[in-house]
Amino acid sequence: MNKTDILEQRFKKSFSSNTVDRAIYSSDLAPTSKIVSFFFISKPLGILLPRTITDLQEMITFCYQNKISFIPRGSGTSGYGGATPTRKSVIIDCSRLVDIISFDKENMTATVESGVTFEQLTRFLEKEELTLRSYPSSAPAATIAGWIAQGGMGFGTAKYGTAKDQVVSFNLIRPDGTLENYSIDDLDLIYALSGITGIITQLTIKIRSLTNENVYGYNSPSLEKLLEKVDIFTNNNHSIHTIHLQNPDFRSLKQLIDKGENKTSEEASDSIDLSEHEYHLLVVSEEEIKENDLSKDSKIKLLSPDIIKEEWEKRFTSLRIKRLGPSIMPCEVVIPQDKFHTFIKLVQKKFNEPIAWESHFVKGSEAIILFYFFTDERSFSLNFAFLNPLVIVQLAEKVGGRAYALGYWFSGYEKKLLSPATLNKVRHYKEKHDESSLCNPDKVFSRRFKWFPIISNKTVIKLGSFSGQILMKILRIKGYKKANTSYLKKMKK
Amino acid sequence: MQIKELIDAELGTEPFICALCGYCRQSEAACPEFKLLHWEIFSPRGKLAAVKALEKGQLKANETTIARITESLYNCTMCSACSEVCLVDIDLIALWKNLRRWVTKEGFLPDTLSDLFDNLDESKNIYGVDLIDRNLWAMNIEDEVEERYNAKLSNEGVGVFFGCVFSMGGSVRDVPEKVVEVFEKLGIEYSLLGTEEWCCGNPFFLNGLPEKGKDFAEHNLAKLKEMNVKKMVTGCAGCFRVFTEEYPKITNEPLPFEVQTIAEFLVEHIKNNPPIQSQKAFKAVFKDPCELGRHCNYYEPPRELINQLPGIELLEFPHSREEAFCCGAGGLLKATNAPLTLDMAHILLEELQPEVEAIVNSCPTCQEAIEKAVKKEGIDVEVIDIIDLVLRAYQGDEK
Repeated sequence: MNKTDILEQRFKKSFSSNTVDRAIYSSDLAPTSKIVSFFFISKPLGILLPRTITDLQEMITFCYQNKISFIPRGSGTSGYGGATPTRKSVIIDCSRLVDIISFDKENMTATVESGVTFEQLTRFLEKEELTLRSYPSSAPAATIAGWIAQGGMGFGTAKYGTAKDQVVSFNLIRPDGTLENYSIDDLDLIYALSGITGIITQLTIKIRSLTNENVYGYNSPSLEKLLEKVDIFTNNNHSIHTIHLQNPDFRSLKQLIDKGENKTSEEASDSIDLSEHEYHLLVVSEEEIKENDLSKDSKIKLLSPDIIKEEWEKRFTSLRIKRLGPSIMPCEVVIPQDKFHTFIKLVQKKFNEPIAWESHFVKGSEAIILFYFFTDERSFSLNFAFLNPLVIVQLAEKVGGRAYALGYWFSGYEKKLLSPATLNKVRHYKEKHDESSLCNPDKVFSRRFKWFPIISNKTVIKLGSFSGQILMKILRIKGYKKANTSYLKKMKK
Repeated sequence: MQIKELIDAELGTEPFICALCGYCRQSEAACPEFKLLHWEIFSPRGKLAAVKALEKGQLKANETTIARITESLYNCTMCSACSEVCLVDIDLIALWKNLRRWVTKEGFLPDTLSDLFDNLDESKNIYGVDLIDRNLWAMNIEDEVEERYNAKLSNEGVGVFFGCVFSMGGSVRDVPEKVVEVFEKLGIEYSLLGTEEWCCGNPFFLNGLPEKGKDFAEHNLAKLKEMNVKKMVTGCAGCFRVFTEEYPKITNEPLPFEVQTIAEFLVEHIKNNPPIQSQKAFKAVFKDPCELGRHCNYYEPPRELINQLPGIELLEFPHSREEAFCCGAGGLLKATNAPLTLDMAHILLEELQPEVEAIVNSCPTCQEAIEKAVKKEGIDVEVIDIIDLVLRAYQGDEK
């Protein structure tokens, strides 16, 4: 019997090897081209769907005993290939583990199963006058465990830090099937590791009291001026939990979508007010910000509370701009806060075209910047769009930054994100509990390239990026689609 | 029809616009099919991913593939919860209809629907009974209504369209008689189609076969025109959606008359002639039918009507209006997978607050599905059509 048959026989209705299921679980949020898929991605053997933690433990133990590689998956809302297969593996879809186990008002913690989403937990907590501290921009769908395994940042991180700062303790089923409870001291065994050390079953995370959200918005044509404002806020005001910056191109594209109902993009484009083509800063504070601190610069405009409140309520809708795609190649980098302006100038110089981006600032003087490259996954140009994230990461590295997450596409860059001590600990753990590297193989640590095992995947990706960029220069190909032709025409006028 | 032809002709770039954000499957008020079946293919996002994989050649349109896609399409209630939360505003219901059309043309129409469509072709109703039996609901009041069949109306009169489920369905077949009683009490001039009433054609429209629904539209519109109808009322959410959304697309022009739900129609009449006293006061909750609410953006009139009836305290489900949970019977699911219908109704009933004494419906399909689930689960709550509620208010006067 082959591996699929034994999985089928053992897990029956909790396993599917249907061709349709295998196809749709073979990718995540980022589109992959045929060429890239040929080299790197393969369809999973099948999908396992545990309904309980006991189911999950049985599945992992069975895979381990039968030497079947397995990949944990939450909602599949990331774009780094961390939850997609690269070799014959089975995907374990944990999105059904959705119990909210308990909350503790005294210690301000909540304990949940790994498939619980941020929206689910928020709705639950709000009934108790509680809420989350930090959460991602994909909160309506993203699972809490997925965000931690990704090394997440987002809303609330200016005060409460990243995903790492939310965890109190966790339960993990190790690759050999043993279930273990870990304290915060062992957080480095799961944080930003794409689940290579096992599958999280339960997490206790920090929560906070539900407080008033005082939302402020600033517009300015000067990025520098707004960054000065950000510096003041991050250094002096400890009640601010969110600092969210958007560039003018991102704003205009959002406007185009919001004004485009029942209009052609040409008509909608005409209704865009380019006088508002400015950088936009949204700041959310648990206490009212003193009037003196709000704005002291004539180049910065303070927006009306009504407008900005509505914007805050729609904070999970950034991806609406994908309607202009049809596809988007996203790219996220983390850079030092003091290098923000330098980095953006590097990007502008490199691409010399409007590129939409937005950013969150993180406690500890870092910022995550998310770029949106428009493409069409049906066309050959997708192969070139694939290079843009690599170029952006290279530019980030020049200013001391890094890729936001490792997953598969940035495996091999682990030294940029994780400390030597953490890497040693993880390597030692893997040797002890997963000597055959069955648990989410080829992620985080770069493996050998499957068609030419003398070199690593990281080298192949770098070579591909280098030669691709040369080819693009020679053939004068842009690696992305102009966001919206009518909008750009207007810009040029 | 090849999948590529379908995409080029009908779906366009829409499947590729999907942001894969997962809001359609993961949000609390999102897809009930995914909530229960949980494989990605049973989510809206999963269906689109399958279409994209077909278009990109990552999947072949063979029997296994189409069978799995068919399974996912016919476990969907077309409740439109997916469209409601879609980040990029994809008209997902239009996509599901087109995909159902495709699998039907490929020979994958579920047998139960094949039988239902045969019934429609042969008998012009979903049950396959003779047209002459369409009036059986009126057997106790034949003398009173006989003159109402196909009667010419003055400009103040209304044409009543009951639909198949109210006219011939099991537990709701007493509702038309109650409509007549309420109309008589309020002195409303009305006319009935009787045996001339055909199904509105909703099963064909929900299956992406508007050309098959065309005969039904033309017949019903012609008969209503013959009665000089200036306003048509219906108590069925599905019929209301078909008349207001599908028929104008068939005729390429606005309908020659106004269409209202009976609930909305009665709001004004009750204002002018309110019931004085009702039965014992009780707490009720209104269940938004998907085909009225999310499909037609129609939420307030039934609530307005209930609020006019004395003695009723109207509560809301924790998820209501745009976020309302589906009863599970829509989108032809009751015919293709009845146990799943019951499971979806169970999710809805889990939301029921203990103090609620009655669930009020404005859709016969919801009424039947919820009634069945309540009975199965032994819940102590009354399931009642909104017209029944109105009639009781007036009967309270008499007592």
